[in-house]
Amino acid sequence: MTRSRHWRNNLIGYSFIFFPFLVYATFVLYPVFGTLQLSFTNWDGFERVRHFVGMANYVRMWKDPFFLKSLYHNLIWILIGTSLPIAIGLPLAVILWSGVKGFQAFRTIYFMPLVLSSVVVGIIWGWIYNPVFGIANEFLRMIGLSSLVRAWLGDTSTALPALIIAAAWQYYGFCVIIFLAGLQNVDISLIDAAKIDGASSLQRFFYVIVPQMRNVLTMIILYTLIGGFKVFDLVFVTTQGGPAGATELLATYLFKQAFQLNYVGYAAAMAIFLAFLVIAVSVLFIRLRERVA
Amino acid sequence: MVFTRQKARKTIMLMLVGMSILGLSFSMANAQKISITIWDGFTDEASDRASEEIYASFEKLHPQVQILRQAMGTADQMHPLIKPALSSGTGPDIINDLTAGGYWRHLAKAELLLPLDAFYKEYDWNKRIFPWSKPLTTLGGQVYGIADELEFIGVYYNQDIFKQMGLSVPNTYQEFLAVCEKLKSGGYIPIAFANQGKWPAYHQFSIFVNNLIGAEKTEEILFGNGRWDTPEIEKAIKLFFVDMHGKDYFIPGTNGVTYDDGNMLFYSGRAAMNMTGTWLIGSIQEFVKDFETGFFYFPSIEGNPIAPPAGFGSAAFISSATSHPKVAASVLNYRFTETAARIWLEEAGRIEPISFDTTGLELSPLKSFVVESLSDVVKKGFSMGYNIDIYAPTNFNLMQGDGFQAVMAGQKTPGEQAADLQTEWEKAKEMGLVE
Repeated sequence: MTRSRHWRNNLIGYSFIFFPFLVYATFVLYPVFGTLQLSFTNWDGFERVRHFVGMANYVRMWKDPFFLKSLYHNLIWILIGTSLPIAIGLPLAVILWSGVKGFQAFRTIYFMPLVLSSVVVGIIWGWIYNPVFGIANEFLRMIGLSSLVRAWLGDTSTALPALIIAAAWQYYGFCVIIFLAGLQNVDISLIDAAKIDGASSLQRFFYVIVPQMRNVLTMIILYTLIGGFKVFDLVFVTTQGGPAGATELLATYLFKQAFQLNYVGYAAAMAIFLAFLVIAVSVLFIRLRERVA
Repeated sequence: MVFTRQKARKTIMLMLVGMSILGLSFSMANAQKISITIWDGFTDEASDRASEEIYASFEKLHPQVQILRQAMGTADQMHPLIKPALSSGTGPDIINDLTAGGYWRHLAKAELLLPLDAFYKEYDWNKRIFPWSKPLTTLGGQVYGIADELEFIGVYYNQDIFKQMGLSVPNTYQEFLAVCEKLKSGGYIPIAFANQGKWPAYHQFSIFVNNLIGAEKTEEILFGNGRWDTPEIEKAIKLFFVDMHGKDYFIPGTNGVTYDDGNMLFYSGRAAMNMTGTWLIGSIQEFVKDFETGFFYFPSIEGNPIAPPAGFGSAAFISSATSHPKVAASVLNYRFTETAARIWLEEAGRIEPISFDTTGLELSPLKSFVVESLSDVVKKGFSMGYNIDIYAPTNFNLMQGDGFQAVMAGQKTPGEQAADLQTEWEKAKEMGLVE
């Protein structure tokens, strides 16, 4: 290939990616660097001058008990909020894939909660959890478990798990759809071979199906992990971080600092930390998965 | 008819010329008009309708002015937009914003709001507008806004339940507790206090502080050298958030119930009382069909005179970047006339900070009660208490919200909460957000 044709071919390729890159640079890279710059200031969002304060915001972060509490809540959310929809979604996908009647209807039903906005999900589950007329408590009373009746979103010990359940309900359908797509690539002959060798259905699931779903599982876990770090709308619409900070997450705490208390510089530092955390955890997870594989 | 390329070209050219002439004439017509953009949070149907009616009548009187009003949603939705809009100089000319949290103080400190002292003189607002509304929008000795939506906080009650249970309006705190106890034993929720949103707790705190220490001492804390970390404030917190909560006088799991759901329990007759503000009158009229609703001020505590918390829910400000400050001021001037006040009260149930004749207005008994209370206040001078959150900065209010939830959850003592409130107040003083 002549040099001019090589450049011409490359030029065509670069011209195709130029405008998307321009959009990416404008709406992603520029704000990220802008936030990084703000994180070294004590700007309140109003003053014309932004005073440089060095690492003061980052130091303040680690001494802030509410920040540490929010981080802890995010870690709980990630742990339970990642595993719960996957633990529900994967077996459901396998059952659907095995050829049950009404496959299309079930797939649609499972996916429907994802179509709802988090605001709507928050309102619905707010009513479900309502301590006076909510169906959660009514159901518990009906089956004779009145002792378990709680103010689910009003009790500091149950508010966070209750919200995680609501989020898992919204999200498990997505896992079902993705797993169903992944199951199309599973080698059925291996499953048949395992059957012939006397493997039980559970053994076939864990030792034949799951290993072949490795890549899809990695994608879903990573997606859910990242989602777990940036949860905001469901909490904001329902408990707003309460009661007494029991559901305060990094994103909601950051929002308060930036838009209610006007500590924009401090909020920027938290945002940078959050972005770094997401990248670090994602890279670590992928490396770990590769090692295990 | 054969449509040749030439004919098509001619047709398109004619259409373009026609559209240009139309557009030009439209913009020329509007270019002669002065546009005043207003942002507010009056998204409910009644207030939206009332606002449109008021501005339409202003436009009729001033045909050279065009008002472009945008209802921007809640304060949380509006605030992130106001900041960049005003800073860039492209924002609204007039902003109607909540007074609670004092977001306007940040804007004023950043010189994004126009001081209105000159207009107060020019339009004689010092005489027309209640003078006790001025401190709410004053910072550094300058007045930046006109307060609006006079509100009181008290107790709505289900008169039918009271009659059925043989109860009467309590005159003392002890009588109030006895009423709650009887209602509880009758299977009713005594008070529809729903605190998931955190802000309803501000008003309960205001009630107990004002009734315990009085309006003067509350004023001393808000505008003088008084302090929050005192035994009386601690007691005010304890009486409501510990004692009454401990006796189960509120909605079960109150920290997990929304304000709207709490109100619904009152509207449906499951809760007998609702301690909240006069802003709820419109909703009560709309949703309560099965019983009569009464209203009383929270009774005296330990023999002290009552001082029902009062305040102004919002205020109108002018942007310092407006190209038409005098026109914007004339719009505000019109908004606070008797004509506008009558529309505001009758349509939206909101009260402006001026004296005006209510003859001929169709008012419900509840609205009439509120208006009569207002004229009592005007005649007797300002003897109401202070709705603390509208005078307090955001950091203080956030501490109120989170802190009172923590007190009810048993995670914080009233003393700790009082101390934390004082800490936040001092922070706000250092930042120049309170004087």
